Amino acid sequence: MKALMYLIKHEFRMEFRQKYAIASILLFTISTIYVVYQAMRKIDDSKVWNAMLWIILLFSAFNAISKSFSTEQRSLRMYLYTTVKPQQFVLAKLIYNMLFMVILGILALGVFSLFLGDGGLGPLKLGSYLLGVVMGSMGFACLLTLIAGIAAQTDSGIGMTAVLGLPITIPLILIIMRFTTQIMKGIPFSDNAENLLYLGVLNVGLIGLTYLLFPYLWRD
Amino acid sequence: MRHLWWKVLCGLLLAYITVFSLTVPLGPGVIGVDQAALSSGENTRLIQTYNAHLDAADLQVFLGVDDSTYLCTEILEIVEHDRVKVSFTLPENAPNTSFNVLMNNATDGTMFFPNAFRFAEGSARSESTVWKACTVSVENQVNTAFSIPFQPIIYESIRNLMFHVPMWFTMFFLMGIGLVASIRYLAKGDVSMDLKALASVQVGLVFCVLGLITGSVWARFTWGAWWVNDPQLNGALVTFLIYVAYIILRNSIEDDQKRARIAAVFNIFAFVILFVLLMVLPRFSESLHPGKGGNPAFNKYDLDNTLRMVFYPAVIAWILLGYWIYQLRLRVHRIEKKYYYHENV
Repeated sequence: MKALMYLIKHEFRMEFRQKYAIASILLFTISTIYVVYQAMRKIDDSKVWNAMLWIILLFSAFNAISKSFSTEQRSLRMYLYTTVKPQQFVLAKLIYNMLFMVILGILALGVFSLFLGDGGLGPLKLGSYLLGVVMGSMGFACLLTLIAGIAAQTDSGIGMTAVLGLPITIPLILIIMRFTTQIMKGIPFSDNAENLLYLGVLNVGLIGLTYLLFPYLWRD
Repeated sequence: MRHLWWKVLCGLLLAYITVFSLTVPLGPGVIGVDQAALSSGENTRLIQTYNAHLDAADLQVFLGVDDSTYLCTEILEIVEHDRVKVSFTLPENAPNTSFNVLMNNATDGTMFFPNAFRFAEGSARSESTVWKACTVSVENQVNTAFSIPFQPIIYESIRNLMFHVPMWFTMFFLMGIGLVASIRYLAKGDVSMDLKALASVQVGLVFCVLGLITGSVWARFTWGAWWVNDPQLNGALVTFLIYVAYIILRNSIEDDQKRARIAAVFNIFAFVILFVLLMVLPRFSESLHPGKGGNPAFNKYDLDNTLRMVFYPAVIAWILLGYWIYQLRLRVHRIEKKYYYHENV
């Protein structure tokens, strides 16, 4: 537990020490939103608004998480390899990625609605939509952490994350899109909550799988 | 020779299902009518049938609304063996509704075509009205001839059932072998398990492509498009993409041990996601595909005994064929290992 806390702290410290990494991720997300803004100005159609936001979140997630295993130096990895268990290491990564993705997701939602309007969302539905963004971002983190770990081991490097990850994210995207479109349509939360439940179950399952499978990746 | 029995069985079953599914005639049925809208008073309509014995002496044609509401028709003539011209007079109290067509004769049994006609000029439907302008009653007869069941919209393409559906069963069977092999590789580190996983995914992918092609042809015939946006179809395509990604992943790692380990991790991860995608998600969303989203599959109602006699053997035959090809593929990989690396696995 102590090691876990230390590792999470370590992740954050590493991230803030390399400010360019965090800046590049933010730059990617914000400039993508700006490109969409230049192309579409204000989006009134809630369907298009929703789709655009999730496409941006998806690619931001790929951009952010695919870096998570490549920034480590080899010597540091050897040191961690001898001192902590792989399960602790990957849990720290997962928690860090989840926190980071949630922050990035909320930030992207804010910037997106600043530029492109709220797409008819309104303040009333914002709460449940925000819940969707939080759960979706966590889902991306759970799904892509192991994939990034796999991609980092290949000879072609982090470019593999997209090849391996895109087909796999489709189930997640399908659930999130259904949840958020139903919010946009104004369907009451109680009728929609089951989608959130599936999302939660999927996330827990993915965390479990990552926890079980990661030690095999790390054995070098 | 004795251990070859299942290969012989596979060949025999494949020959059986091919001959059976391509030669047994389709059962009789009604395809359509020349004009759907009815007017009050007397109507004369042509009804198109398929494989029916219209020249039978006891042919009867009815219009029906439900179990107690029937209208008899007078058969005027048979046009070119497959169309029958009938005339009938709608009663005064005919409701605004759609009418089914029922046809009877001793050889073909009762042929049913739902919502063939619609009527919009009459009174609003009152439930108590029962009109029966027939002197003979509608018999629910069974077609006794040996035939493949007639299904509206699907028609002759129902034969595809013996090819399209077993492809996916076989694919799942092979991917299941791959999953078990990957788990066993991670547990034991046995190189032959890695080869098994690779061979099964390769052969599974072939069956996946065949399933996509047969499904696409079927979709064109019944739904009118080569591809429709449907959870079941999305699942099939994503399955294909994920396993192609598996092959790409393998090719991007040089070191044998590392490749085997990482590919096994990805394979297990991918299979779990696929399970969610194919088994769980389609049940919660609307789908055109039979068996999903509240649609009936080919259940006991559709899949009659004739079809069952060939569908179950078809599933067994294709799975055996898939396993056979998988074994050959595995043997090729082993020989390659031996030839290039002098390793016996």
